Amino acid sequence: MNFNAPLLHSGSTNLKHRDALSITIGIVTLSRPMERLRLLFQSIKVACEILQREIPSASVSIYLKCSNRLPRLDFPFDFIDNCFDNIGFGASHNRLMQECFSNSESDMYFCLNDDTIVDPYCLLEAHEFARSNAFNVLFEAIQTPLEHPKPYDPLSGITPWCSGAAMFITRSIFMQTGGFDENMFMYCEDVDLSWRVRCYGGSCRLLPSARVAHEVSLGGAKPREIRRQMLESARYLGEKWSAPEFVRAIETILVEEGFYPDPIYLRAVRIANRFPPDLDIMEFRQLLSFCIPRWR
Amino acid sequence: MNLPELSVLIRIHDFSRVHLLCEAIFSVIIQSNVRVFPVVLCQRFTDSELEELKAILDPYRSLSDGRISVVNVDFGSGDIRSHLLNEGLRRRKTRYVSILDFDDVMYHDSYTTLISALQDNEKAAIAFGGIIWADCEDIGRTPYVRNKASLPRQGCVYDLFVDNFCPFHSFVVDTTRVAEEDLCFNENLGILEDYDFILRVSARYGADFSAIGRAVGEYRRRPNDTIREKAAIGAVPGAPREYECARRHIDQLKRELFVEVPVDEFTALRHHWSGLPYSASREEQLRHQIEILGSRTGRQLAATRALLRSFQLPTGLRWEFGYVDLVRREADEWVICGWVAAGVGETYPDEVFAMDTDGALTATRADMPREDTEKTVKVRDTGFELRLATQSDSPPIVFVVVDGRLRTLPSAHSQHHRIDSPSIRPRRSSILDWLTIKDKR
Repeated sequence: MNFNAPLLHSGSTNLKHRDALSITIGIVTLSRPMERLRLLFQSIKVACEILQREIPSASVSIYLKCSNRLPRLDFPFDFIDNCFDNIGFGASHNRLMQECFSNSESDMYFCLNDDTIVDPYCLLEAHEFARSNAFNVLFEAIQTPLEHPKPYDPLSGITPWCSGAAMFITRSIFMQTGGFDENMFMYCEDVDLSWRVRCYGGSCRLLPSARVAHEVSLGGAKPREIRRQMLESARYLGEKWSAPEFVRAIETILVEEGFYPDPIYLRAVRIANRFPPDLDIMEFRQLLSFCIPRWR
Repeated sequence: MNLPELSVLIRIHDFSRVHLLCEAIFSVIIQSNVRVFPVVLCQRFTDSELEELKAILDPYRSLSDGRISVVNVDFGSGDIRSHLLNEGLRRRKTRYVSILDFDDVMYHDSYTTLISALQDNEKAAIAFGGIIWADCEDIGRTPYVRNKASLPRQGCVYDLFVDNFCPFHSFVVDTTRVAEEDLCFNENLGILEDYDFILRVSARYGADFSAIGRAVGEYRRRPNDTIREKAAIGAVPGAPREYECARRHIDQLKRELFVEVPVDEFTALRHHWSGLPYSASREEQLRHQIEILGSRTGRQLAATRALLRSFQLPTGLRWEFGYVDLVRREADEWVICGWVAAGVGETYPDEVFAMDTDGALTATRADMPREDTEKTVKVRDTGFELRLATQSDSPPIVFVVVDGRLRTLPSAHSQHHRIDSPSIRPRRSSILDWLTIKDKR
């Protein structure tokens, strides 16, 4: 793989100076309470109305991947995949992106967590940002009020990596990168995608004017299985990006926290495409922050 | 299912900052398990400003099923903050009431938490939660948060009677438990009107602090906060400061208010802060803590070590106040280096202690900057280097004292470099001037 190959673009994928864009919102949900899902879809509906009031030719489609046990939602989805087997965050969104970029004229995919609520002006802000910026920018909506502590430049929005909770992926980026690495079941696949985009000459930005409320808890321990998935993904990421010290640190944590009785039980990580270390892009010294956080 | 209903009174006096109001409104209308009715109280907005405000808020009204109302208060002159709130209280249609400034935010389950506290405690009319302090700067039309602190202080109602540590949006009031004449703000106060209200309601109707350890929202401190401007007013000699007048009012109120204290809470009150009376300065409290460590009896040493072990943080990734990244043995001393995470307010420690298994103790200030500080957006960790002369082969325990409590520092990997220079060499703390070294029994 040529790590220096720039992100490809063509006239059809260059978003700059287009009159209007087509956005697909992709949501993967497994067990979210119905009342909160309804509020999420209501917020999407209001955000779409604001976007189309300002830019009538912009279009938004909603793709959903969910369990077949989810009660029928009264919402005009454009695509529903309810043959849900839990294949992981990255794989689920990749399926939706394959569908939207193959079978529609969508310019951009808004990867949105099911535990979020979209600010009414979010889609409009994102649309205008995408129209005035290059095709190879991976960007995210700011999470509010519990902001992610990772740093970003308040003037340019440049950030070390974008969070997958509210991430905008252009067609060009998906075509070049293939989307998320499906070897990471959940967590860290957004960091990996961000770093790959940067390897290919793109950039990661945070858009403070596009807000999304993300219902995370402050502090508190994650459920054990979620914690294990996070550590396993981190271990894979460290192997993929040639960070042996980080990998050892994660393996130590996996054993100390009781997920494995001894290091000999850790399964070998098989990496198809390993990336060379690049300290300008990756940050493992802050462990699972993958950046120097603004606060701890 | 009937959800509890709450009115949140949101004051705004400056139309040019209405973009911040949008984030505040968004944070309250998406609350879970409660129906929130925001009441936006505008201070003397013009007709065109009101029209524009309503147009901006219209999408949020759609998202909240029309529950947002806007009230323009055209009354008097100058700052009418208390009058705004009283107008909001007069118009309330819900049992529960909360207050929010236009440039702060609430977390998604804040009102559920505080209403549950009131439902569980019939003797309280007001319930408090914790507020995260965030250093903020408005860049363009969006706030940029530079830093956040963990919950700065977790006190009880008696701490509140000593001084206010609860920001305006940290509480919810059950209006059915408060007499109408007390359900108002003192319109003669342009500052500390919140503390006046909190004192009266807490003293007369009871306060609940069960949720004080849980963050319910953020106080976004900005360089141009009005309260700072007010405190700076009155530089002219002889002219009383508005803040000092308000303080005198508060002091007088405290002389007039009486509370009932159950006997067991009175006992806890006296033993609070390690047995020192409330008036003890923070330095005295710290010295008292160190004296406990400095006891000459072996039994108390063992108890102290057990106490330290009970504060051990989980290994690995939590370093709320700091961490150790280097421990090595040099001749007859242990060298320990690490980092203390700086933060806002007085919460974060700037002294680090190390104690060995025999009870030998040393301390140093954490004041070494990081080598890569200038290259980052904002880094506030400061480094320390401790040297403890001891024959013990076991590495010492490293800890800090925060709010009178001992917190051990875990070990964590770091490649950051401390900047050593002759002018900022680590020095022994002044507290050690009077500290006696333990018996080595």
